[in-house]
Amino acid sequence: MHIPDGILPGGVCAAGYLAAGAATALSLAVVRRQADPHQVVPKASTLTAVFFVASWIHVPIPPASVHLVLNGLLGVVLGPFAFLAILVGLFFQAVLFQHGGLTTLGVNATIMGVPALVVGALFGLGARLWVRSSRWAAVFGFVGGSLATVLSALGFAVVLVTTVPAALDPSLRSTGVTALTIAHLPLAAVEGVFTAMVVLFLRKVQPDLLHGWRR
Amino acid sequence: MIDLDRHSGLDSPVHRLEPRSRLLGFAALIASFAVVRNPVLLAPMLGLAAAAVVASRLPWEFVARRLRAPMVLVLVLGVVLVLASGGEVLARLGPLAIHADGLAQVGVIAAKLAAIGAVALVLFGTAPLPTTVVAMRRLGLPSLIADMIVFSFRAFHQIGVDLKTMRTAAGMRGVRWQHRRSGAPSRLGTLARMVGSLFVISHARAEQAHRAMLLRGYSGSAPLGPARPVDPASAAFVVLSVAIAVGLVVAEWQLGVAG
Repeated sequence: MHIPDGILPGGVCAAGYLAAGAATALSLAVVRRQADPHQVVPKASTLTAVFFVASWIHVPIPPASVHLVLNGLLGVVLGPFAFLAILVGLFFQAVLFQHGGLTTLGVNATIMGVPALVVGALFGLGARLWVRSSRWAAVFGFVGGSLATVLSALGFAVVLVTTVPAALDPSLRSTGVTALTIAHLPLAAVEGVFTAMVVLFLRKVQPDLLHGWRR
Repeated sequence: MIDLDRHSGLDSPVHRLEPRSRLLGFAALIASFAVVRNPVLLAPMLGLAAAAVVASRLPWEFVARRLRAPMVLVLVLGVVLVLASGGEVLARLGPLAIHADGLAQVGVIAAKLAAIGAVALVLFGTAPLPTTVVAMRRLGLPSLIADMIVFSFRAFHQIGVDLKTMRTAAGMRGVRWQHRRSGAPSRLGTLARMVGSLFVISHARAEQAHRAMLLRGYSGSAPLGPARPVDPASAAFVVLSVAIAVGLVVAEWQLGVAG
């Protein structure tokens, strides 16, 4: 779900940076409202590194294997820090592995980071439910993981199919958006199950790592 | 692959540039390459990228190896564009038609990817990453994000080692990672517990590191130290790069109006 350099027109790249800049400003404003935001930086950085490393794990979905997106999981764990973590993670993926791109960093961060913020907000709102019951924790984890993937896939498909500079037929564009989104549904299901499993694990082992946890 | 800055110790005119100037100059070029769409400008753009690689003395094999993976992705997209875009049909292969417009677009995309990728490699491959991040911070990147980049970069290696150790331990207990036909759900559970454990272990390590940093005087953002003065060669590089970038954008606009 990373759009490489060279594919999108310059205007779309600029719009992506504007959107990512707005989301970054919003995240920074929320984070700075905390008592000591810099105290959270080492935690957020380390979890960003885990996200970066874990996203290279390939999960077997017979007969093939896929690598996980994990933006929903990041929203569940980091809340308002999730967008910044995804921005940093995508920067590393572009610079260290040429996965994604520098000119498309804004677009990619928006596509993957905004759904993570949505999931983080939902998970924080539902904290009273999932803190009490592991069943609700699994439900929120599954919905968070799969919702973030579906929203990202939809954003990816819309941006790619509607802005790639070629004379594609309008009906073909619409079919392309639908096909690309549907193709990501199995991944969304796997992301949902995976996120639910990690949420249940963290809830049992170290619940204060989950966003919205209250003692 | 993580050792992007393995050639940062070389000596070249690009290596000697003041970090902020290097960042500004190459960022201007990259931004202008993103705007280019006219085939007439592809050759100058690729020439500029090649000149940057030559000036940096980075090995061509290093650049080519790193651009291989994104090029494969573009080729996959290219097949779709060549077959699905409208316009003049160049040839027919049974039910499939090869369209001229799609072929031209694939050429533009591949050239832009190669040029942007090569210049980005020159930018980030000619100095240690923390040096470039400090330059970004001096140019206005919020300190919170700059600190996240540096701390994350430091944590990669240890987390990679942790993950490898966990996978080996799970393998010795009978988890078969390479076998794709059976046991996928149970392996997903194992992977989820591994990632959960990575979060827990890494968080504990981050807390310890944070306490150690506080003891050493960390007060919310890493100290920048004195900035290196901008030398005449670096200033000239920025002026030249920005002029070239503006020239490319203007040329693209004029060619678009003329076309």
